[in-house]
Amino acid sequence: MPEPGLRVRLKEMRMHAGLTQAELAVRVGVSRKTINTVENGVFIPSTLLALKLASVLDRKVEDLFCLD
Amino acid sequence: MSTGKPQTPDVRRRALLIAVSVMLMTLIAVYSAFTDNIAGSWAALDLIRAAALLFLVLVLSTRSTTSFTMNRRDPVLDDELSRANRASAARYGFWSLMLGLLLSFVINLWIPVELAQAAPVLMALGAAGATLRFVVLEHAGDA
Repeated sequence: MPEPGLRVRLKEMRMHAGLTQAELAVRVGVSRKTINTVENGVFIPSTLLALKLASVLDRKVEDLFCLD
Repeated sequence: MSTGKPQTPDVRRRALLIAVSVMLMTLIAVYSAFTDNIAGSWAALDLIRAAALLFLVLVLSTRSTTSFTMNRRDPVLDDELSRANRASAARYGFWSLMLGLLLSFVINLWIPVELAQAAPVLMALGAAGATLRFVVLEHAGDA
């Protein structure tokens, strides 16, 4: 169930970067399932993972995750 | 298990956990095989149970993705989603066991239930609850 109040734009940013879930997962060092659940808002990543995602996608964390 | 590299505290802790756990589980398997049988003879069920427990030891010590493994953990299989799923599964397992315990108390009001009879059922209930929860969460990740 997606977390209310949290807006996740990871999918949008990932697609903008031209990466698949699997490719992003490899670059960040997690499973594809993790990327999938983060994108769907089912799983809220740790600060460390959020920073890694932002770094790989060359974005700020706030670009990927923000409050509604 | 020796790789020629210096052992880190994590590796030493894992090795110690494995050694102690294998000894304990083997003791349980041997003990249950020799004590739970009827009239001092080995029933087929005892043999199957002992073999299953030893097989579980083997699988856990070689294929587990947690600290309880001889191999180095695969970081992808042990990422934070898996850890969160395991934590949630453990909670479900605990509450399944508690529910079973409560039910056994209620049943005990009418039918006397001995601990030796109830314990394996309760443990299986807890394990089943945890396993089901983990499977559901992992399956949800694939959707």
